Amino acid sequence: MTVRASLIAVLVLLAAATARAQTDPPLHHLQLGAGVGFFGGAALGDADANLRTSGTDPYRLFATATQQAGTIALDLHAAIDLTRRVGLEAHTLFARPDVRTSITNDVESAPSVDAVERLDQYLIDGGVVIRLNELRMEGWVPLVTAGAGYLRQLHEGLTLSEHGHLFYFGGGVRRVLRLRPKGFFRGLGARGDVRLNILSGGVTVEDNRRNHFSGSASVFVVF
Amino acid sequence: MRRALTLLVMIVSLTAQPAEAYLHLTSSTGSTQTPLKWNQTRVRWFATDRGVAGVTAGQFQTAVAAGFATWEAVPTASVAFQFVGFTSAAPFDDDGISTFGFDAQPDLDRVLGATSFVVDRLTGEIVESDVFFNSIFTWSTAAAGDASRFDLQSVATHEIGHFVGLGHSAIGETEIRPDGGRRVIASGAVMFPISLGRGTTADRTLQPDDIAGVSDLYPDDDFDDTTGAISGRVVRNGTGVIGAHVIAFNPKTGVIIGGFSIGAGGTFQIAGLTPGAHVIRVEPLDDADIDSFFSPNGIDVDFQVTLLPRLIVAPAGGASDRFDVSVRPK
Repeated sequence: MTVRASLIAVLVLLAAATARAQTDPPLHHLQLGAGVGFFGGAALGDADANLRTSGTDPYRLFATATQQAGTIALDLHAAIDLTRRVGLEAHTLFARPDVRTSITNDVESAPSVDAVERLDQYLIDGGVVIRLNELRMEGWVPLVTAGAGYLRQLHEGLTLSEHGHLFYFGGGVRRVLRLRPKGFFRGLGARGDVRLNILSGGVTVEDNRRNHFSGSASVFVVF
Repeated sequence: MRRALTLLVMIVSLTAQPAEAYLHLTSSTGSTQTPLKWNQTRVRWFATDRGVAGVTAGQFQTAVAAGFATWEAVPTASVAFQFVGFTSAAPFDDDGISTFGFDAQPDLDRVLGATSFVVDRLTGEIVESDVFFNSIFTWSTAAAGDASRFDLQSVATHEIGHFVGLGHSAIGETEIRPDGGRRVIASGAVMFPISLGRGTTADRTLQPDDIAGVSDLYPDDDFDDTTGAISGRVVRNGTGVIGAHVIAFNPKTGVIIGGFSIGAGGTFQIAGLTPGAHVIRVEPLDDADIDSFFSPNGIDVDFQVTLLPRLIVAPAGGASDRFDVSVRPK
């Protein structure tokens, strides 16, 4: 009786392990994904066009406030699960946000306008993925992500590029939709991410760090 | 040339060079305009041996030398000067030497100083340039300025800008005085044609527009590669507007650099910009007499101040695509 109980317990554990193995990509296999999402806007800074006076206070010709607008983004990523909990990932995110400078309070009453240019923006980053397997629901595994990367923004006309860097923190969910025990393609999955991207450098006015939220939905293939 | 209240044109037969930022003085031969500039590696100058009340000849020379040093210190320009000595010659003598000195010109009662040139009209080379400071005004060389006198070094710095070949900048705001003259409210360039007034020493320090102007005229090795230009056209109902003042403002650096639409069909180019996106503002030339910049013939001031609803990017080592700024009549 004691032996039978132990055997049943082992079988239950094996069954559970098998079930988990069928819902996670195999370890050390490359996952390549692509998706679409949204890259949020942020204020880039304010600046006044000032002239000198004979006193100490400057004379404002007009005021400006510059923002980067939110826009749709394309997300390509590669990932690999190192252990059942920890993985590595790399992202390339492309977006074409508008930079919008609101020009107001002209000293000669010129009508206020928004001066706009469109950027080509690339974020190339890499980081760590922590999977919270114990919170798995309906096959969806919550993720926590963090990393750093490189920012490249090309001004309109692609004649001038500016560079910076970013840190990001985020989270998401991942689900394997299909797995194959053998073959070149070992599986297919879906993933959703939200991130807080902290950008420095690049196209900015006040050289300060700014926070851009982003979100994306993607599918990935396991090789 | 700098005036106290209004401007008297002293630079005869010189016109403004089209399609450039700020204003470069040019020599016209037929339809060809050649920028005026010194070809000497070190430009020699003399100071007159006469002082005025409150300023000795030695103090005068020291103040002018400080003005020269200011222009020579521009890191993106290659222009150098050498003080040769004192002379009994008067400014504006056609004697082959460049002389700075005081002179009493009561008829020029609103002119603080002026610059004259002897130039090779074919090559644009400046052969001689003299600068006079009008001794009907009271002058100061005090380090912090004197509230009742004009600062000699500030005015010298302005005149030396002409001496090297720069015209006037229009980056400034003025208001009409009851006597018909103008009072400067603010200026963004040492080369603005009207003084900030007695007591101020602000024009001892060059502004970005001045630095861009001299660097464009005497560029050092890296200037053209590390700065950018924008070029465009000011139009009203599809027709070019001549003589509009165009400024480019870089929100990241806070720098304002100006130019004029004095090219064919209202074209302009502003060079020496920090690479990046710029706000463009166009205004009629109404903050100083037009003839303090160039010949008033054909200059159009009948349009509204206009802000361009596009950011214009100055690329490093190149120029923007040409763009139009459409203005409306007043």
